[in-house]
Amino acid sequence: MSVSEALLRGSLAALIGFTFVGISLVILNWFERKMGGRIQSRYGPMHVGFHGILQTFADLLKLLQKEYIIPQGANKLLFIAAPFMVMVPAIFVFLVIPFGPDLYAFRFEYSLLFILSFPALTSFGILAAGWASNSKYSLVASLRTVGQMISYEIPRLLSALSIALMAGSFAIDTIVERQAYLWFVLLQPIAFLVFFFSSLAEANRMPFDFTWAESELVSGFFTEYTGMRWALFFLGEYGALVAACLVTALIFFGGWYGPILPSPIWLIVKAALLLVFSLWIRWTWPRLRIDQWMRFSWKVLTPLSIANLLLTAFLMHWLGVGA
Amino acid sequence: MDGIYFLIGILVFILTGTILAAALVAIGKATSYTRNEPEKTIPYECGELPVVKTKNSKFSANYYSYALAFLIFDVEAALLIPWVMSFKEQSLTGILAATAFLAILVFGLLYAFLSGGLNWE
Amino acid sequence: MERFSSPESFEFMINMGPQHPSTHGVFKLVLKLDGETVIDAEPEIGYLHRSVEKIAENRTYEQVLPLTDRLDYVNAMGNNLAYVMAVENAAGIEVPERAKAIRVIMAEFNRIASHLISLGTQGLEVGSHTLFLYCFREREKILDLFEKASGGRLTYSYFRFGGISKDLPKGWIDEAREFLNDFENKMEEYFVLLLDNPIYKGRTVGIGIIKPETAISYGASGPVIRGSGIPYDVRKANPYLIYNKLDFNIPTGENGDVWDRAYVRFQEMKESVKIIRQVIENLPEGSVLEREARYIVIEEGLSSYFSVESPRGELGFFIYSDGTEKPYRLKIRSPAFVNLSMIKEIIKGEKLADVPLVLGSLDPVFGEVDR
Repeated sequence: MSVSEALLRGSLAALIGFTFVGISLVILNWFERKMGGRIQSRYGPMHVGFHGILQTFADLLKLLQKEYIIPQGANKLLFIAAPFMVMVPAIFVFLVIPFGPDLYAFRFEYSLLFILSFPALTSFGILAAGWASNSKYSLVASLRTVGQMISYEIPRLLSALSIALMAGSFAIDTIVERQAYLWFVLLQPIAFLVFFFSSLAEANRMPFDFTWAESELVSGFFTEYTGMRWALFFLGEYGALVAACLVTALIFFGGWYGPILPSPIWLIVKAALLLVFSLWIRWTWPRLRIDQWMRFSWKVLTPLSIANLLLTAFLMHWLGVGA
Repeated sequence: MDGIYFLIGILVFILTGTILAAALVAIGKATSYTRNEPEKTIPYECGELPVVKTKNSKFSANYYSYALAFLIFDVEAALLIPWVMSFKEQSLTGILAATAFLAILVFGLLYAFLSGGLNWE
Repeated sequence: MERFSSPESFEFMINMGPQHPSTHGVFKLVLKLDGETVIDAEPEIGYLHRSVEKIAENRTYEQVLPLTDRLDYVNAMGNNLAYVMAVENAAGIEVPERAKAIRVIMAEFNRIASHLISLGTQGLEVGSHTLFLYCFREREKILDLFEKASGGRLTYSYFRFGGISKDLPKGWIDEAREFLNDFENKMEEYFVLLLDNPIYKGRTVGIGIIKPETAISYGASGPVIRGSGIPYDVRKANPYLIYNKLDFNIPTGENGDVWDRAYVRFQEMKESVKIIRQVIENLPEGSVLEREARYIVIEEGLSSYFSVESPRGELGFFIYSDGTEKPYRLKIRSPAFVNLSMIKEIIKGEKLADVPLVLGSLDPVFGEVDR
């Protein structure tokens, strides 16, 4: 690999990530509304295009016309930078995600660790957005983000460690190759649940959407944002969700393995099913309270994932199925 | 040397991503018209003037005991990574050592739990 | 754990309302927070004040009726009932049996509709949008029934002094019966979706506790006082219309928390279904309005108070007459206002996220609070 190739691959990854998230936002946003409509015994969007299929574009047009307001007393630099700080880390995973056996921007030996650590930078963006807005609702929301992050990170990391233990590697493509015959979700159901729900928490999705809990914090950390700046947060949220589902599909559901269809399609199908699952949760469950979630995370999830990790280690040693 | 290339990749990724995002904002700014009025820029506080200015109010992050536990466990997780990496070369002793290490930490968590440190008050 | 600094230095004041997604109307609560815990709250009402009581003094008794629709706009039938019966009580007007029965049916249907909103918004406050829309779906059917009977969907003015404006249309009873059968199945769905949901239970059990003594000392009524375990219900305590002939229970809660109040409302919907069934099966024949009393003069110096059980509690109208065709003074005892006055006391020590939940559990309608 040369420097120019690295430059090309890096920028292509960003471009593809952006496009991928953008396209999936258009589809997913429409699908989410339609599915929500179906679950709630209503139609959902119907008027813009066939069955409202162009609704997202109509919303985009609306957002393009919105005014750009910086609230009084806001920290301008951080206020303007915060949407980027949320958006860009949310799609970091596209740097290392393999869509097929040889289909990746970069092959990194510790890509699982990369995925676990770098997207967590979104928390700083949210913290910055809330603090810079000079609005109390935003401030409360942004400080909740910290509380949320410190409660899901550890269980998430520990459950990912037990996967790495089974695969004997932190490289995602190796982990996927180990699942050619048996998905890890069958061997590690606890790790899957912990990982998936922690990922939902990272993406601020229901039932963990404390940072923009509408009923108490109005719009949370993006209360003061308008127009495309707001849209970037929205894009970042969907990006984090899509990334979380892609990663879960890769490390638990055998990634690109599947009959007949080409490998990227399989990965996307699996991720899409996980997305549908997350939407289903969103439309069914009430929201937790942040202190309850933190307590649950520290009193149940953390010990559980530690136990799971040790159990995995012992079983692997005794059964001699180490890598 | 792959690491260097990956680092370059990350930097280029950040740059490209920011440019793309900035392009979105720029398009939005170009297609919209902002009329600045003083009332519009008052921070949202449910339609009333803020009771106390935000910069003058202190918000107590009273989950700091969780944050302390987080620091410890984050270091713990970082220490577990090499253990996971070298798992195939290890004998039972290695696993037992990790178990003892984790057990101490879980006891610490249990202590924090029993002493009421893991309550949000 | 000991705090490192004194709590005073960490006061955080925040306005909640009047323009907030979940204050159930225009209501302002200035919260003083320590972290996310509420240490003090100052409620502020009056954003929806329309001086109904004063306007009523310049109107004839008949003309006041439409004003009462707009008090508690999700329970217009109940308000009509309370006002109409207060005037009838003062003027000594008799009501035919059939009209009494239909009044009970309408009041109970409106109780279901109102409790559905309360339950649905409880769902909304914990982020469960689905239940909210389900509740509105059911409420819609009740509104359709009301529309067929009275012509209105929100403000009915259906009752008249001495009866009701017009008899039920043909086939209305069958539709009502069909709705009740359907609704009973749907109730189980709501129970599973919200009240029995572990997350919702975790959010509401032990939150916003109202002690029986507090409830009594504030004069609370309705599901709020019954949630605290006191079986006070005007329909039983001081029966009006035909309630003394009907068989129904008064559900009560145990702890007086948010969940108990939601559960009491849920059970009350079941009781209302039971009541409507009984009345529908034994609906008397005959006229619904013997002679419409349009011009009413109440004897000079007569003051009378009459209260009914609205979905929010004891809704009373006090009328003092100076012998003209207009009330000299009309005082509305608004249950939502009385129940809401407890908010300052019960919100202390709860988390910020629970504020809308506790507020919603008192089920205030600001048209009635501010009057």
